[in-house]
Amino acid sequence: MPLAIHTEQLTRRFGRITAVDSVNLDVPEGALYALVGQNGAGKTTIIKVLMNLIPATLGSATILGENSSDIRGKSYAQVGYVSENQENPEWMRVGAVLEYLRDFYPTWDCRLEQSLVKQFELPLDRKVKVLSRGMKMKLALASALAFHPRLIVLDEPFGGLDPLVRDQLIESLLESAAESTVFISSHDLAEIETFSTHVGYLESGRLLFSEEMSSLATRFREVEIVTEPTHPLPSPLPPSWLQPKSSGALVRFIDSRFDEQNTAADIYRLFPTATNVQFRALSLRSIFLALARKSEEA
Amino acid sequence: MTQVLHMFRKDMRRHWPEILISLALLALFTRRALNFWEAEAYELLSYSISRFFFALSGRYIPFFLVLSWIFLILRVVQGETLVGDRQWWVTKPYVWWELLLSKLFFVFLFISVPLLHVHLLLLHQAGFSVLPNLGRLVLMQFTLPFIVIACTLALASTTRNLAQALLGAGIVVLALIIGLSLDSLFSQSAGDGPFLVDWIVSLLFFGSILVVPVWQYARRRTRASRVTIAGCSGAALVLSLIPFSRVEQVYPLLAIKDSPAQLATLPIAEHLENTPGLPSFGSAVVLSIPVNVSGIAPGSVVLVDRMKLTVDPGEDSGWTQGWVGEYHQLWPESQRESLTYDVKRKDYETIAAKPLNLHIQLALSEYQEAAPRTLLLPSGTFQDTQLGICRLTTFVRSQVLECLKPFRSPAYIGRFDAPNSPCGSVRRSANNLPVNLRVAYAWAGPDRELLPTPGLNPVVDYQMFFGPINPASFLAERSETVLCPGAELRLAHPLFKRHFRIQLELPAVRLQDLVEHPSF
Repeated sequence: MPLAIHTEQLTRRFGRITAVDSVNLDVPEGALYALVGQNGAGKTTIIKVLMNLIPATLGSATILGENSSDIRGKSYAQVGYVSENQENPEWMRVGAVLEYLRDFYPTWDCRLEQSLVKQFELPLDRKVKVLSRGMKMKLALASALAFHPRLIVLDEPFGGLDPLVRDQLIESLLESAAESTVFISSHDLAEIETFSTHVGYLESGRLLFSEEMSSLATRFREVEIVTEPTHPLPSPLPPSWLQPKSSGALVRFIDSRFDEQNTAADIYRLFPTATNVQFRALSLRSIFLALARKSEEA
Repeated sequence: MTQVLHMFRKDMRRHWPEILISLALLALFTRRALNFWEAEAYELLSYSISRFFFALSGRYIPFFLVLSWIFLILRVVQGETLVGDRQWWVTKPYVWWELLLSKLFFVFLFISVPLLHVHLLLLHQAGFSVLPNLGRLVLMQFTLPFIVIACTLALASTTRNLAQALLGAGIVVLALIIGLSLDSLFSQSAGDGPFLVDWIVSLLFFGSILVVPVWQYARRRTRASRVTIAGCSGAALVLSLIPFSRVEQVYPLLAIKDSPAQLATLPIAEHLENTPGLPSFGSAVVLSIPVNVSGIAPGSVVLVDRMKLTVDPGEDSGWTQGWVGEYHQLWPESQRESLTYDVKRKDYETIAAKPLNLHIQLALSEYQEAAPRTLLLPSGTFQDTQLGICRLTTFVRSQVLECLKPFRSPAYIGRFDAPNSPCGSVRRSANNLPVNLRVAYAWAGPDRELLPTPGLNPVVDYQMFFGPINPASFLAERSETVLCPGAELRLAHPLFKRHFRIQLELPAVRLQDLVEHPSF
């Protein structure tokens, strides 16, 4: 499958701090890729390098087949970029912003623009500086979608938005997803889970995993075992078992490499008196929290 | 190219208040600059308050006009700031050179074009033909307006907002002050630098100022851009401070007998008091060394450029300051001149009464008349190919020849045989001095600049002051020169002949006897 985004050993340092550390990332065309991670994990830095806003220290990145360090000018006619901390032309009116942008994009779709304006209820005669945060984000998204970009890059687009606005933005995004690749960074795991096809987890600048949502959902399971009370838990436990806890006859953990047969074999090897074993699918949020806690413990 | 016009339209809509302010100031400047005859206009204003505001407006309107241009350029360039990584426009399909062109087009249309029109109007209104001056008029746009625009573009493209730009400008001003102080410190003992060094200095400075904005637009590498400008300017400053030649090399020593100007020190009369009539010039005491002058060939002038005082080895020499600048003109009729030299008051007080053997070195330049001719002064305004458009004017109660000339005031040697003129030699001037007792000369030296004088007005207003030759004795009556219609002036181009240096001796003299006395 052709790749919309590809990075190889991508590294970005700020002085002695390594914000992004040897990241290898592949985003297939047509994917809805969510890059998740805690604050300061390096998500925004990766996006800035991809968008050629800052140069990489080491490694390389390509966007739609073009080296990210060469992306400038007309290359942006295929990429819609929305960031929560982007500075807007505050002095312009909403209508003037859209009118101004129209001439920069050969593929600008006036009908789509009108429909987005209507859908987002954008006040065309109001200056950008008086808009609420949600409205500013809607304007940014409208101007990033109206030209049918091949790639949409969104950096924390939902932060601080009320649920109604978030739903509206996601709805528009999904409508566009059919023709575009979407790369989104967010903490908002609940929303991302509903529409992402791929997910990458970034921690302290390192990409811990990057895979399809379906395979991730299959790989992570919450396991509950009823067994004779065991104090302490047997050691060593498999490294893929996260947050093991025991409470009386109940043992709980999250398996990050779930395979029904192998996991069951490990359980019965370590807990021979196990009487009842249950596997439950996990939400993205629970997976993210488990990984975050694991890194905190480490 | 469609992007250029598209962005230009946006900038025009956004910055119309700044454009209007700048155009209004340009209109004010034009209104004020149309008073071509500055000296006459000044004299015509009867109230001192009117004169004050007239003088003030001449100085401050151009200042505020330039300030409005700087503000306009900063605003329009920083509208799409090149510094930082959060700007909205950076991830839009802007083509960098079209963005740069749109900004240049904006500056051209709202600064250069109106200014060029004003220049055309001023030239025309002053009475000069526009067509023959068109080439130099275009060249003039590459002096002050170009420097202001280029420097502001460089500043605007490497700063994020007005506050940063102000900080940057502050650093530039500080560097300039340090540079000028160092220059005045080093240049006293140095001769003029070679042409090549001047070119390299200009290339380094203007090269970085011109290349960096283009580079910033193409690559947005702010830190590297700032380092480049600072590095090149620093290198240019260091290069300009290096004394490539010393005064002694530029001005070869001549024996007095070979010198085109025969100078000799005069015996110094002893003052009875310790420090008679000590003039107060802050922390400096001015020594005055009278010299006899003779031997200057007719049609020549010798300028005293610099002077150096030294004492015998072993004597206290801490008070001497090496070469210092002088400005004296020695003409064929000159007989007496008073050379001046500043000494720190603290130093002076410790050695004032001590007899010292003073060795005086003078660095001089000789010029000769070229293509001399006689000009019969007409009444009213007249046009002269060398001088421009001129007329006799009273300025600060003195009679001067005030002239207008496009782009640069000319170099000239002027001689007025006042005692034999029809202007009268005994009547008293407005300053209550007898007039036209002595021959008077006017002088403006040639320079090596090819470009028009940096400024905003293509019409240069200058005054030819005919100063009488100093009297042979300090007790002789001082006089003033008054020109009149019908007077004959001898005019010529000054032609540089040579630099030379002579040495004079002043043995066993006390500094306190050299201090300028009020009765002089």
